Amino acid sequence: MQDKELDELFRSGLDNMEVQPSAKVWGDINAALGARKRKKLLPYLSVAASIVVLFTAGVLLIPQKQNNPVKRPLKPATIPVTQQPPVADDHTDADTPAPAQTQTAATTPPAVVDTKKQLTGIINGPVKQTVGSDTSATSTIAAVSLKQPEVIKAVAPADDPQLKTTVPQAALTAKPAMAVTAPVIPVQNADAAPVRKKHHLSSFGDMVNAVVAKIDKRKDKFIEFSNTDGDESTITAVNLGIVKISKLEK
Amino acid sequence: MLLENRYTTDELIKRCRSGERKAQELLYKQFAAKMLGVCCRYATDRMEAEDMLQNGFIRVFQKMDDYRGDGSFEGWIRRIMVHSSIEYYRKHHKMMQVVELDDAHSHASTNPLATAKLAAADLLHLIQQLPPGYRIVFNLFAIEGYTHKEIADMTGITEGASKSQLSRARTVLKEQITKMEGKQYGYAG
Repeated sequence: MQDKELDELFRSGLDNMEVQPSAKVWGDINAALGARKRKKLLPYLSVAASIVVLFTAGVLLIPQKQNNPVKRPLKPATIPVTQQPPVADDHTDADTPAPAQTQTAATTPPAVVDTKKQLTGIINGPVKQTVGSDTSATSTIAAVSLKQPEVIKAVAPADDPQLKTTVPQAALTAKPAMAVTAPVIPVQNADAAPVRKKHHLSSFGDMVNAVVAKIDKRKDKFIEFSNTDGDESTITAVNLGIVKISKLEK
Repeated sequence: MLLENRYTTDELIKRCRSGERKAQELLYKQFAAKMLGVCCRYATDRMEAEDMLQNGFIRVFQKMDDYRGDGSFEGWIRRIMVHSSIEYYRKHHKMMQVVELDDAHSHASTNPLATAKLAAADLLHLIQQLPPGYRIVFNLFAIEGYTHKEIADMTGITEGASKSQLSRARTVLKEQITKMEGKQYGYAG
């Protein structure tokens, strides 16, 4: 047999040969691909899921305007507005989500920047009217306070899989607190000035303050909540660099 | 199975690029059997062939963006399989061990029955029995159709080594065929 014939013999016999692979092969390929894909998709899915969770929680809370749980401590009638040191240091309860979040805040600026832009858009518009007249702020404050947790939540799950355990905890602790807390209602009149509570994590605003305090080390946080007479949380200050608004004297 | 192939190749490629798992599975199912056929020729046995197939497909999905649409998609996948198989050997075997043959083996035998067609399974068996170095070069030259220069580039051996590996591969194969046909007198194609 000539060389060419030999080559041709094998080529014609084997060139289009088909052999069915065992099922195991796709399983292994699938697994290998899965490891790669999960890294790409994780941030987006987690952020989306977090937003949905928070939105649902917020929606559930808003209609409950008359909830004033008995458990809450009574407040004195007149609360003076005083110079307050940063609220951050006194909130020792919300430790769990904090350290990890500081870390990821540094490593995932894009997520934060994006939602900050959203916030700027929201706040820049309506809030400009708010400072003067409080009554017009009902829906905007509610909207902003709803959107606010996005920033925190968006920061947390971004890249670090270890955070997965801490974020649900924060979500869990946030939820019962939010369930107990009455929803955000606007400041009724300018005289009943909001007070910054230092020692209790008793409202949604306090939770947010605690978390924000760990992330934002400036004196003026990018957003700050305080509690009104009725222990409702309202936004008292916003500091986004460009936009700086505060209801309290500093 | 037919119902699932409702995508054109282009659409399938696009979906695979975006990481759509279902599309990837469809693509795998469409080409796996043929590609395993390719890998079997380079491997010593079925298990090795499936390892090569797995590595090859992972590479295919990783390099999906590189396919420009020039040339057939199947040809592109096949090239990846071949490269993947060679790389497998680089990792697992000392590929181009020069096997010393007796000079007696270098006589080519001309046997009229040798032109008869052999079944694919037999051919595969013959190829798998070759030492890996011979097997790879024979595959690349005789079946894939690469030149010695291309083989040298792909495998890291010299052109000269490629030529001699090919020659030795043919010699062994011819002998084996003769032996086979000797046993199966009257085997007709």
